[in-house]
Amino acid sequence: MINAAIVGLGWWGKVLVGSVQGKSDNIRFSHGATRTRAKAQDYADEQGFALVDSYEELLAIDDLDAVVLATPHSRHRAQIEAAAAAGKHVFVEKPITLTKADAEAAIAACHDAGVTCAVGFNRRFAPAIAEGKKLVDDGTLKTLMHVEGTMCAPNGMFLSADAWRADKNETPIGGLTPMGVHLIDSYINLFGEIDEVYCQSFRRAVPNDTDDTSSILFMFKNGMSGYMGNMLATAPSFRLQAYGLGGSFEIRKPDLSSFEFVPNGDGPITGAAGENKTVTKDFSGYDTVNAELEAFAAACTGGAAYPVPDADVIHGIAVVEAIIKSAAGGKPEKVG
Amino acid sequence: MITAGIVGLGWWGQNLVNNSAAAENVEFVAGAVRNTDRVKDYAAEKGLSLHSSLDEMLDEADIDAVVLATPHTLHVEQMLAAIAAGKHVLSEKPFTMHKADAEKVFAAADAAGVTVAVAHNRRFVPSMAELRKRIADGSFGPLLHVEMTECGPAVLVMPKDSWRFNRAEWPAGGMTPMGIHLIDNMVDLFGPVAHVTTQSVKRAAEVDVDDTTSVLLQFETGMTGYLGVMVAARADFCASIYGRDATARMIGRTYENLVFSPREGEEETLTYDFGRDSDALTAELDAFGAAVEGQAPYPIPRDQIVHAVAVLEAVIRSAETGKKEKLG
Repeated sequence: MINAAIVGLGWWGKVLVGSVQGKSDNIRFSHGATRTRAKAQDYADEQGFALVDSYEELLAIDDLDAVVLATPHSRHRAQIEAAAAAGKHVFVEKPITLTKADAEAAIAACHDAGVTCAVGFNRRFAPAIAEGKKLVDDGTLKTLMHVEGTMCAPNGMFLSADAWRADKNETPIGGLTPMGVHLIDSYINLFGEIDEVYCQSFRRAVPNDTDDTSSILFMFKNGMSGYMGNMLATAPSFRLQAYGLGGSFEIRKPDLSSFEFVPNGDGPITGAAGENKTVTKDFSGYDTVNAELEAFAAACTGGAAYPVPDADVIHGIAVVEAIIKSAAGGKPEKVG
Repeated sequence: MITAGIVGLGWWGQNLVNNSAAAENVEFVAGAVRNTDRVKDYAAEKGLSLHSSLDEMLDEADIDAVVLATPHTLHVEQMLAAIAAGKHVLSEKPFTMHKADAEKVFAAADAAGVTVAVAHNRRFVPSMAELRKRIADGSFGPLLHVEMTECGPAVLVMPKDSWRFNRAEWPAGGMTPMGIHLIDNMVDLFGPVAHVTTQSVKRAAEVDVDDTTSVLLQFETGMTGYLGVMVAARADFCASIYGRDATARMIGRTYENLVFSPREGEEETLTYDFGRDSDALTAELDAFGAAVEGQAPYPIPRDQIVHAVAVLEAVIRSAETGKKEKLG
């Protein structure tokens, strides 16, 4: 059992705590720190962990093994480096940083200190993604042609003007950093590295200065193409559909619970897909947040390495950087 | 009721003739094809006189109108020839490959006093009418984004020597056969497009055309869009419209399912029994006949026909340059 501290007790910080507290034999939250302590005291009491006043104070606690960072993107690098220096393992929410150089520095600090650095790509743990990856890796999909993904949420409509997520420095491309990075990580996980991106991103409806409607084209190093859409001012939805010569699979619903694979038939052009061998699966109820924290605890205690490789994390941030550059310049950009 | 001659009696030409049986305003009485032997039995069954070229049909047949189901690049000269002979014209999509050609055709039609229209059959499906209504009545609130994807197996199942499989006819993969429909749907629902960016690749095709094409675009209103077409994949279609107050999904090859999801409130699913490749053809032929007879204007305004061609042209240009292209 490792002792972890939650840093940042906004909406997502509480989801992280709730996914393991009192349920896990491997990780428990013993401490927490947040910007406005008074706002979190009742919650901390109820969940049975101690609140401290500052991050520095947390890192000085001897019997604390790890920190879990649910804090604004731009603060991650410094917080990771400080944790590594204090010998604490780090679980950090995505995106780890907003530049590739910062991601490399943060990860190197953890390596040098011999602590684990895990990024909270909980969708890596979604069984539907694993199902799709099997079809890619075992050749069922055959030649890969294209992937389309869309993630939507209404959250942009409800941000107060002083919320950190309403600051364009934190969320430069609307839904990219809160949502899109998950899809990018899935793309990298499924199809490998991305070579080039083109992005357009605008504000259409949210009552603050951030974008709410972003769309991106991708070219992968393997030659396939891709698309991603992120909307922050509309009803929640999720879709990822991958197209190969052997068929296509589609993952739907905000919890990624719906999986469907339709092999290509050779029916006539006017319609039928030939013999119907559609595979559908329902993964409702699987808790990916619990799974990612369990995997983190295992990695911290000498078990299996955390399943999101550092190289994928760093490449994902390089993709984010290229997307931000493309939106600013209005032209395609190579991933650095 | 007007009489018409069809040019091209391949798969799609026959589909048009077959679905004219239920039409009240158009009757096919003639057909022009290069190789008349190949369709002799079909023409006899449908009561069509057969001609070995458009010019011959224009000389010999007693027709009011010409319907073109021919390769894309032939449309301009065939339309101009029919117009010169005083015939009304309904052309398959894409109307032309260049905006300047589309304008030339309409100028000739005006000078000759004939009706010219394009066969965007998917305008006529009931789910599009429902979307048009809900966009107009504000159900979506401000519009954010639209996505449309269409797949078909053309390069996998059609003969390798098909007229389609060269880069003059299909310069950006599935854009000319399928994507132009999606462009027309978008222009219909959301107005003119300001700029486009295309990526188009060949992944699996054994013929020299791209099979995977994707486009980002922005409308003049500021709303954005995505369009994907694949021609080495199982036939499929899906579309999503994202507004602040609601989203909608159109699912199914024939646009038969429309799922309307308000941000707050109950999801609603509408299902239509209306064939995109059958009932919609009857409807478009009837609309064309009604326009020729002066009963009602053809439901696709001329400026939208020309604009859809301009969007297609910009998409193709962007596929070549790899850059964002403004509409010409």
